[in-house]
Amino acid sequence: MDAAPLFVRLSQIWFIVTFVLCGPKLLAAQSMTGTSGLFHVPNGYVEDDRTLTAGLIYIPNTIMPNDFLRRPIGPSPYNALAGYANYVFIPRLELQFRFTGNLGMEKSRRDNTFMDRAISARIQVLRESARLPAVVFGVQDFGSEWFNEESGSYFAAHYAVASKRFYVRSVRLGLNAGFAFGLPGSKTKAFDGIFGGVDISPLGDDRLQIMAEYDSFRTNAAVKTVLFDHIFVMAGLWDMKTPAGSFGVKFRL
Amino acid sequence: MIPLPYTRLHRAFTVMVLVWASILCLTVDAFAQTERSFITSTLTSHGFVNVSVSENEGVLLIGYENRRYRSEARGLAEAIRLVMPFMTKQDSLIFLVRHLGKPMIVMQTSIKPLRAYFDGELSSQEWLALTSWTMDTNSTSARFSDDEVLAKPTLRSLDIPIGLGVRYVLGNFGTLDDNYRMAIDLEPEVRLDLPFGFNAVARLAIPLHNNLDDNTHIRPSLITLMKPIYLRGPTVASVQAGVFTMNRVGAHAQMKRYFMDGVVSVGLEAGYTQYTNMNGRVQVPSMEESSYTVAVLSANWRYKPYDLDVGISYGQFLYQDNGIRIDVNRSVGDSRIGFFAMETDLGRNMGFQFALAIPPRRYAKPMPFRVRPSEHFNIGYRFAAGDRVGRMYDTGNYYFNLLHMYDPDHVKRELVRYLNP
Repeated sequence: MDAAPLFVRLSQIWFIVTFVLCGPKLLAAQSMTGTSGLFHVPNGYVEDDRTLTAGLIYIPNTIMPNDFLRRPIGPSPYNALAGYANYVFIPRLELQFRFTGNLGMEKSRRDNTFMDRAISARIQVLRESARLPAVVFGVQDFGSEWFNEESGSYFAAHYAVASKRFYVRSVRLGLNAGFAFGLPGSKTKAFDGIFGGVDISPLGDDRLQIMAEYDSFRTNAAVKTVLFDHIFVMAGLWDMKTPAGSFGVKFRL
Repeated sequence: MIPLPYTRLHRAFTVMVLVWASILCLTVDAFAQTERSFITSTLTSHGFVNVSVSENEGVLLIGYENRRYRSEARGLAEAIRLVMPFMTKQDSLIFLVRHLGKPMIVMQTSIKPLRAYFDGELSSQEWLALTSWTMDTNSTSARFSDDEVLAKPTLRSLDIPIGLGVRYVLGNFGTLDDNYRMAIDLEPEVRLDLPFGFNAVARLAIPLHNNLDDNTHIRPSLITLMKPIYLRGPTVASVQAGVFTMNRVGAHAQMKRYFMDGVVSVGLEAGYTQYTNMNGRVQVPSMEESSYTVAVLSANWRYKPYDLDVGISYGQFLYQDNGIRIDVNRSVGDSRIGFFAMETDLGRNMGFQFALAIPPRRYAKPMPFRVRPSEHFNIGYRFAAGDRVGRMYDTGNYYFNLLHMYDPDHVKRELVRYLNP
């Protein structure tokens, strides 16, 4: 079968699914950390109260923390898959549990770590208004810190991030900027210092988002779509070269 | 004043009046009796049990237990809808909601605003503002006459909810192949109303899958006899004895008192238990075989707009560790979601706990013998698995464990969902 007609047909199906079947009431999608955000960096928004999100994230080996396998240098030889559940416990407070495991690792290897748990929390201290941005303070992967196990906090981060959306005709433009910092006794690892990004929604809502960002270590770009109000899919290039992505479901209890 | 002559005609007239008055009284009483029995039969035929109906000075008192609907609010909504056609001459209506035969919550409403709500003249919020609710059921229970007969009493029925018990750990297991280990048990349960206000709960564990521990055999997981105790004011208490979870056998007592219309509560619980291998094998028997005493004091603050409970407990937990535990739970519909953190002599831990509502929302009508799915699937996670920090056994005390489901504000909020005019 010729690849070009197949591509056209798939594009048609995608457009039908995205633009016809999706209703106007849409939910924002999660970042690669599983919390609300762009591709990797968080944003200043928190979902509606009682929103439960569950999904899977594919993380390429080049991005996995070096010390995930207790190796001081060099990337992990394994890609990873993370499963997570995210819940807005009370308005403005988002809680997350994430479980990350290496893919394709020989089960006979016992000289290393092949899984990791992470607990994260985000609180929105300022809601977006006509003039002011939405502001969130977040702590990521803090469970191990509480147990004084620094080695387990592979994805740890503490940050404040602000987001503001503008409309240019029917196109929505989002600006996001944040700062990650260490706290006494705990380092910030996933982000460190200034990070930020822009997201463009050509349809004016979350049905389609195009994003570019700087996560304080690298530049990333991604496309995100929400289907049937409840399913979201994201695909992107980490460091503008390594494919990564996630998908999940989201509904309000 | 000249007395009227007492004639034969006068006497006959007096007798006639008395006879007619007697007939009228008997008719009115019979009509009232018939009306009450109609309400009783309507409720019982719909599946409500432990139904009692009495009337006192224009106030109709209806007591019932809902075993038909998963949600108590839906049960109440259905009960209101069913009795509304009978509300012809009463001024107000009181519902006493029972659970396992025990009074849990009282709702009182005047008939006029309720009718106005059904006619669309009042909003649900306006009608609810005119209702009164309380968990202090003593005075209402006393208003039912002593000879009141319960229709469809649950003393002669056997209800068997079947739930799932899941134990699991996530982590690295050295020589094992998987990075998670799990045991899933099917858990049929028998909940019995017994004479003199006692309740019994017995739960069986039937293994479906297990790569976690040695409990791969069918075993009892809980056998408890419980007696709620009614105290003055908004105070609830109970004592229970039997085989509890975590391989403990013994006795346990709990008491809780509410303040500020249920916003704040203070509780005390204490128990003495010994080891039993009746409900499964343990990993380190030497650590379990001692007799243990627990004593925990707790305080709870409830933020009603969000159905949010923030609790703090201090005391001696199961493995004789003294420390503090903080719980934050929120009721969401029929489910409950929360997390906890604790620090005792044995270390720290934290995690989350879910009681997720299981379909269906409506069960078959109660029968002498009924099997149905359990109301909730309980699952939790402790960040540090296999530890002994702040542990406590489960006594199967539904009276205490479900008190949050009967919080008036929770029931009110849910009632609006189900009681659409």
